[in-house]
Amino acid sequence: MDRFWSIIITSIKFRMRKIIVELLFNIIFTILMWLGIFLSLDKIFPNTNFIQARNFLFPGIIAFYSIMISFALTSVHIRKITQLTGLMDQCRSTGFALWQIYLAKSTSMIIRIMIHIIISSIVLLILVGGGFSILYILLFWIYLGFGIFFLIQIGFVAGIYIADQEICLLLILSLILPLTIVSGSFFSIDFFHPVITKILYYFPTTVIISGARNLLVNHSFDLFHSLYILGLDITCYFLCYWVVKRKLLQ
Amino acid sequence: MEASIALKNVSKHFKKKYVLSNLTFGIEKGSTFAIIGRNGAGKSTFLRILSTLLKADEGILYINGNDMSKSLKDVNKVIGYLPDHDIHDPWLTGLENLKIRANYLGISESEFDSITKPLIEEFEMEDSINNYPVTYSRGIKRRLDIIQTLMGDSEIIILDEPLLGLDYSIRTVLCKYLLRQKGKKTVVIASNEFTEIQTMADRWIVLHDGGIRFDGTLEKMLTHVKMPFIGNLEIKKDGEELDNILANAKNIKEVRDFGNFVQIVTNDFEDFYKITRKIKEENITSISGNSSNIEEFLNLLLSDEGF
Repeated sequence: MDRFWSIIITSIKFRMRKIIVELLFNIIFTILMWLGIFLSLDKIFPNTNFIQARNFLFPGIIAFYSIMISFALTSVHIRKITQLTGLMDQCRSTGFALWQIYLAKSTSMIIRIMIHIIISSIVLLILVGGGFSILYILLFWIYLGFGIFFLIQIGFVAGIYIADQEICLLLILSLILPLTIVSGSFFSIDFFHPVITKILYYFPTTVIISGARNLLVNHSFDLFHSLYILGLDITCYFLCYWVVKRKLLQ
Repeated sequence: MEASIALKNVSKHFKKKYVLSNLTFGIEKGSTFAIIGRNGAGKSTFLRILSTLLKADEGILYINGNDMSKSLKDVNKVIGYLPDHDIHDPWLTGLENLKIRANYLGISESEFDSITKPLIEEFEMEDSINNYPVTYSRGIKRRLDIIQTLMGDSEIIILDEPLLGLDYSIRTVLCKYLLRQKGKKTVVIASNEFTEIQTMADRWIVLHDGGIRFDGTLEKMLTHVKMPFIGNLEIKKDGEELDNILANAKNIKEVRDFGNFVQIVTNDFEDFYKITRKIKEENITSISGNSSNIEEFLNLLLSDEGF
């Protein structure tokens, strides 16, 4: 068990410099989003109520960032350790079972991304002047943690299978990014045609964003959304592990 | 003698192509076992199966009598595997990489220095261990990975092309290290460096088209295949004089003309020596030769269907 934790600890301890750089970019992103969305919104729609805008956009920006970074960081990191360098072999050749490495890597990625979510939330809270209950902020973080877990699994598979970095970037910029925007990060999905809204309603990214927003702003826990996310996490975990195992062992 | 590794009908295929086909043999405990073969012969796949990183499609692998498809427990204490590619993070220092490996292996901080320091010194890494591998040369990177593999003090050491990029002096260090392990550890080594294999290996196999083309000792091989002598001549002039000499010389098997550089394949050293005696000394820039060239050996071995 100690050796299992060593994978998680080394993933974070020896990459502190890099994580600090990542967090600096996170802070820059959060400030730019605040400037670009919060402040410009007031100029474009002068009648917008600040409280309503803050309640809608705060969870939207954090959820948007969490979704983007969880997929992007995992796919790039896993691609690096399996395809660009032999770091997966550095770990595997010390006798760990593949399931241990998979679980440990997933856990270390979730810890890394949770740090991002927390830092981004704190920076944005300072910028908007607070206004949310600490308890619901904690619940919001936990919900997002569960929400992004399945994206980490998909990122794992993408990192193992996609050999070309350009394809990986295109996947992030041309699919994940617009999908996250369309899922209601910065505007309500109700603005779309009812058919599109209905389809988007069941999109995993919409479920993450709207579920997190409901929890933080309306203090309402949506059981359907939560079970949906939990089911997706469990299914993706085992499915993606099976895919990874097939790729690495055979 | 007790078998450290045993394979029973082991096969591996990628898509429909068999890379290893029905391999059955054992490797004795404490022996040094070498694998040679051309590129794509299946050496690396074979070693990945031995190191349990890859699963055989058919057959059973036994390590110390344990069926590896069922038992993976404590395999880190048993096997130390060096792949043919890098196994370090180029953006962490050499020492940080060793610390990561130590964590994975369950080596405590108090044990770390006593385990790694002698290896760092032996492989002459003291000056570069605190630098980043991105600044290392190919050979230094390989040394770092060799240290990572050896620091686990495993019973079985599996090395895939360990000499790749190493200079003469470090090759000797590694050979000496492995010679010291004779009788204590089982060493499985895949390499195309024939001279080093000759020095170290007790037994070796030649892999070809997924099967074993040769299995035995150097003595056994020499009784079947007479190794030619390959002489290398670097000459100053246009070679007209050499052409005449070669035309009249006896026992030449082949001449490979690369301009100022000529490779002459003869039956033995004596024949080559006779040729060099006929060339004016001032026309020769350098002379070298090797009686055990792996390519020559493989050519002979693989062309002889009855062998």
